[in-house]
Amino acid sequence: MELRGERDMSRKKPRWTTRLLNLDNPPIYAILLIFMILPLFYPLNTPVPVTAMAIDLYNKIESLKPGDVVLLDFSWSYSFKILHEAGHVAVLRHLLSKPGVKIVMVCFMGADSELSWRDVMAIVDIEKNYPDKKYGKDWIWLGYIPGGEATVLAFADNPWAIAPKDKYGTPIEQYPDFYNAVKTGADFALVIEGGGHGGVNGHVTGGFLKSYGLKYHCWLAYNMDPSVIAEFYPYYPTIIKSMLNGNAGAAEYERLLNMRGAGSVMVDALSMTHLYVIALIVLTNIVYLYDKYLSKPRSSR
Amino acid sequence: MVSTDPGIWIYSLLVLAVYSFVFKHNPAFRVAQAIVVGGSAGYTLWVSIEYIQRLGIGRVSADPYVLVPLIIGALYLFQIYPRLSWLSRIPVGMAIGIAYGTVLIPGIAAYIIAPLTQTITPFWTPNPLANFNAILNLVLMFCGVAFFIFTTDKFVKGRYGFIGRIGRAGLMVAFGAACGTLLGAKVTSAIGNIIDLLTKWLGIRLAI
Repeated sequence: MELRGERDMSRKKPRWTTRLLNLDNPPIYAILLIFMILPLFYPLNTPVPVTAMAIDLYNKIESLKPGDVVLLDFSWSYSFKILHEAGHVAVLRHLLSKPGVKIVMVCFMGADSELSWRDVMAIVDIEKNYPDKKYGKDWIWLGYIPGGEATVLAFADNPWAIAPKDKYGTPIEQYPDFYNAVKTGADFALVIEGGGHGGVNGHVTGGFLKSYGLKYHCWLAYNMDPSVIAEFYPYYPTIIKSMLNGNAGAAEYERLLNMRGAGSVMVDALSMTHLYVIALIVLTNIVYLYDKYLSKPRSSR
Repeated sequence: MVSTDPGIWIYSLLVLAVYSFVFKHNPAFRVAQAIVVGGSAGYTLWVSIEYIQRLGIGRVSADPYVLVPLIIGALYLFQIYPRLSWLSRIPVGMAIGIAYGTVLIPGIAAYIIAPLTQTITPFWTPNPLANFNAILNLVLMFCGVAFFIFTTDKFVKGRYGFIGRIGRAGLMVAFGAACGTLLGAKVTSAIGNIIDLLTKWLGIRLAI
């Protein structure tokens, strides 16, 4: 492989700048690992400014009345659970704290999304922490519904035709609080999509945008995969009312709920690693320019 | 206390095997890769069968019309029988046709009209920063589109070539931002895995 500063390779020993520019990956990753782990033991309590997007979602949930039905989607692949779990845990806790609010839980993305739901439920632990919330009366779980975007659109038009039974095989008619309250997507007081994979063209996120956002003008929020959030900004705040930006968004929401959860911990570690990466970029550029300067003949410096 | 759950051990060893890739491509990574791909395929198959039983076969007695999509869906299986494999084109064609038919019209509203109306916003509001942002959005969108449409030498090297160059700068900023957020997302995933390894596998208490 050709090394940077190769014109100096005729020397017996490359310059320190050249050696630094061609440093192997392991030490860089090893230091990165330290920056990731340290904040987990020694929290930095990084200041988390709460954005309007998180505040809007918080206020919307605060304004929900008894009998309102919320659609909570868990459409993230299990390998992305770290990005979405903290946000959904915080939002679900907030929803469960509101008396009389009904929650329909569903996932449309990949079969392994059901595992994502299971993990969130294990953390929230409704039976233990919210004993007054009963399955079938306060919340139902429809499980994974395949079919992608076409299914999301059809579900918005007539939910119980697409999901006539819940995950456990019980017909939705047996849950009158849900069956009678929701006939189309417009009847959901709040729709929260968890995912964002594939950006606005994603076969689930795009479906939510078209159906609940553009067709039924629902109060639509996303618990977003941060890597694609930029694609959604043109739709905010007129069509998408709120976006939680991965763990940063989760940390904001945890702050609004006065709790310290996984989102806040992640943000500490994330800030440290970002600072490290920025420092590496700056250092590498400085060394690169210095190396280029040293490569010139002394007379032309 | 270190976990005694074999599931946690398998998970942890697979995570370590996957991350060993950052140091060097090695057999442990390849084994983990094969297990993940095979496991995912197997799990998806199981969930799909469960779904067909629950919302397909399980509904036939109550609604015999459910048999129609079940039979059409079963035609997929003729892929493995070359003489009748043409039958598998029926469900494929229907799936593609229905998907495009239902998505096309809302797609125009979602991907063309909505972003356009959001990009071109009033720039005479009382908030000067919002006005600047609106103007910048409009200019970068115009220049970005021009960069892709006007690609002739006469335009690129001519008097108005600066328009494309501004567009290119705007695109680079957008790609840079996308790359930065992607990096953040991947680092977050890594941190999450580390937390799992420390807490669930090694039983170390973190300062949460």
